[in-house]
Amino acid sequence: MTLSTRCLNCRKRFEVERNQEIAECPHCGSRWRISWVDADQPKVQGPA
Amino acid sequence: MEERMLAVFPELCTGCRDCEIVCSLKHFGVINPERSRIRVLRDVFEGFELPLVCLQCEDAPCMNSCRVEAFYVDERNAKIIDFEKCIACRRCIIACPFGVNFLDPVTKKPLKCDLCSGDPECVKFCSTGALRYITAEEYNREKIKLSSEKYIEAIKQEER
Amino acid sequence: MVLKRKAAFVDLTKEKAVVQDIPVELRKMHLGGRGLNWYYLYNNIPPDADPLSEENILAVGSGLLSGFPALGAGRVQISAKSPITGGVGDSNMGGAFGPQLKYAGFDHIIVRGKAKRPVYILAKDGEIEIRGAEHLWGMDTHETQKAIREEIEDDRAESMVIGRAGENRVVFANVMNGVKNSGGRSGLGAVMGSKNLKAIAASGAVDVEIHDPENLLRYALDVDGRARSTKWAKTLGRLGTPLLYDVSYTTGFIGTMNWQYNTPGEDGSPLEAENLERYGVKMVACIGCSVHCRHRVKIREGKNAGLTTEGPEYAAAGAFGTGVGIYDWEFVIKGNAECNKWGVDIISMGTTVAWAFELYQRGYITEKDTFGLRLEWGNEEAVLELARMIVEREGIGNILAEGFRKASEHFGEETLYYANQTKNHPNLLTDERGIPSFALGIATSTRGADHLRSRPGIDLFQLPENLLEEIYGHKIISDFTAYETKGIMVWWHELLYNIVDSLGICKFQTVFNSANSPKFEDYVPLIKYATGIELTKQQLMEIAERNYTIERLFNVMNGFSRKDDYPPERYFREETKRGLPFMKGRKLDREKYEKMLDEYYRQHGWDENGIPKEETLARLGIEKPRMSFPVIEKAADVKKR
Repeated sequence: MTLSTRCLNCRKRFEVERNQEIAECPHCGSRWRISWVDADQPKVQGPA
Repeated sequence: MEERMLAVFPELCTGCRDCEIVCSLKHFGVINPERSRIRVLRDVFEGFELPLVCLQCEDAPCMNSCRVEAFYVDERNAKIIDFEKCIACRRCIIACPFGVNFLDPVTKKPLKCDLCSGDPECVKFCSTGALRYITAEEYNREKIKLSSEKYIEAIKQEER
Repeated sequence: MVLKRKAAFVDLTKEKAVVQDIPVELRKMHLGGRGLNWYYLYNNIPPDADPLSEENILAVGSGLLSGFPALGAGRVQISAKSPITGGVGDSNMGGAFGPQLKYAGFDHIIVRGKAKRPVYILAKDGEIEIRGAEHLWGMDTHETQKAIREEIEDDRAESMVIGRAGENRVVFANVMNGVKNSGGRSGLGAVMGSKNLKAIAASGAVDVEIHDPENLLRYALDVDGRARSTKWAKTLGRLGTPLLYDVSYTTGFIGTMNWQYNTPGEDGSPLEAENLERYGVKMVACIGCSVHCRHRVKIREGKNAGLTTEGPEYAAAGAFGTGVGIYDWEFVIKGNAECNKWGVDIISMGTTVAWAFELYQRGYITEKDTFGLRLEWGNEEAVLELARMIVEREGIGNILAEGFRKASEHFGEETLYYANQTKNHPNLLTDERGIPSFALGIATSTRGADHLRSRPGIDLFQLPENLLEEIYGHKIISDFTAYETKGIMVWWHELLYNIVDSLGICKFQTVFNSANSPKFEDYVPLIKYATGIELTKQQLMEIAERNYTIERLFNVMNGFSRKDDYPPERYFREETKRGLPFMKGRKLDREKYEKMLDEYYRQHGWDENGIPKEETLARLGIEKPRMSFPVIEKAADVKKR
């Protein structure tokens, strides 16, 4: 199962690894702090 | 198949009353929580939700109190009222030590959970798992899981 | 046909009421809830009626599906002429009152006149009783509900009540139920206050009959499962609406220090949704909702230790947060709790207070006006004290309690520029100037600036255009900074939200912030199984058009037209100063906005001045208003106490 969330900058979805806390959007290079709604659902919390 | 029970986890109840709504819908074809066999005791000002439903006691005071033999036990160990025989004397309501045998305001007969022939409608609609139809073993496992989560949370709060 | 539902028409001046069946033909034209409320009000409120006089009429309408086990169907619509705008006043409230009104035997209660003494209306098992409320006057919204439950000896009774703000006719006073369920915006608490009506209580055990119970259960489970399994609903069920804060402060579309900025930037990180979790007790729900988006919170230490309440929502993080330059959940929780007990609209309160703070910054308001209160950004004490003064109409609070337009007569006409409003209605603490579809939505909303009447939340996702065309039935441009086609998008959401409000289901479980949520076609089977009324998707959309155009006509009758369909002037003049690169340095383009407005009117079949065309009225079967309020003199007396 691929885990993904939407980048707030370029609005494209990108993959996040399980339990990852900081992630970089491969499309636009934005760096985000990630929080987890549940084990399978990451979301952007704020800028890293 | 192993016997299952309608288990209640109040800490997961959100107070949506879907269980009451679908119970009346399933049994009477109407929506009327006052005619439901399950009730959520809720006080938003005090801040609690507590679903109340028949526990299907092994030695059931409701059944023991019935003088017209309107009760029978089905293959799931549910104590069920045969309304053809029931004379609406309401002894069984008085006898219930938990107050989970209710009174139908329309028919004046008792309202008691019958486990929906092994597929409880309330459980299907409960989105958080506050109501589950599970075995005793599963029940114990869940109780331990939930209370250990609470314990861990309490320790975390202390650390803060 | 099982649809034997009732409406009570109550005349408070005469203390009389009459109960009538709601004709099925009216259902097919307007459904229920918001749609049916506005059928009654459009026909019965005279255009020149003063909103706070006995001529105004208050309509309370449980949605057609309120009380159903799906899609958050616990909602009720409360409507009247608004004391803020002088036009459509319309509040949609969650919680438990809507379903309880049905079990009391009523779908609608329509109230006119003014009681000679404080009263409350008790709807119980199909009967209407008018009871004295002298002993309830002065109580907060929680105390009032508890006192009514005790008095009528029913701990499952639900009431919609007003608090101090409504009694004092603060123009943005709310109607409240439970801890925080708000009939908000529009100032309908003030309308109740002006009628000496403290509360409407509902109690009873009347069956709500269902056309096809078996299929309803099956379908409800299916459609509800779809609604709650979207990423949006799952996040909402965990973090509540504060999740929106993470998006808006990061991107840069949350009004900060009265919209001088579009985000607090890093300063605002304490208000991230995840930081609210430490106060959480558990998530709770409205009746019939499986998403459970509201927090029960408890402050466990510090000066507010022991405070247990529900919320706060995203809007409160603006009102008691960014709007006034405060970034502390604990303060937001406190302000939120106070407003709910006062029975005042948190959004309008926040936007009004933020305006006063900017006027203080610019010297239009001085310490002399505030009795020494220093309205400086970040001053927590000043925010709460000013809010209290507004509710109690003390000093400068008495001026601010009248709304922007009247208050600006006092502070100087030019101060209106700094008020974030349309049709005099305070806006949510969102900054729409970089998002044309959102800006059009707040500008054209029939109840004045507001996000819940047409906001196409999914516009921000820039979804693929083939998917957009599938949803909207029109070609829609994916780029959310575009103006073209957004008029059609807003039109579609207006219709959708009208249906949702008329059915009594929740906006968070339709296409608002998730493209995968249920929409028109998914309601067709629900309506059929519940009521036996068979409608097509096309017919549903036509009902929505009719309902929406009636609201528009009500505004037109009260002097509204194109001139009232513009977002705050500030959005055209001042560029955003912060945010992500695509959100920085943005403002609205006047010429493009005008074209977008034209497109929106065309889509509705309204003329270039925003007036519905004769052919549109004919197509929708809308007639001239005619009084339909029943002659009450002949009716039997209601019970009185």
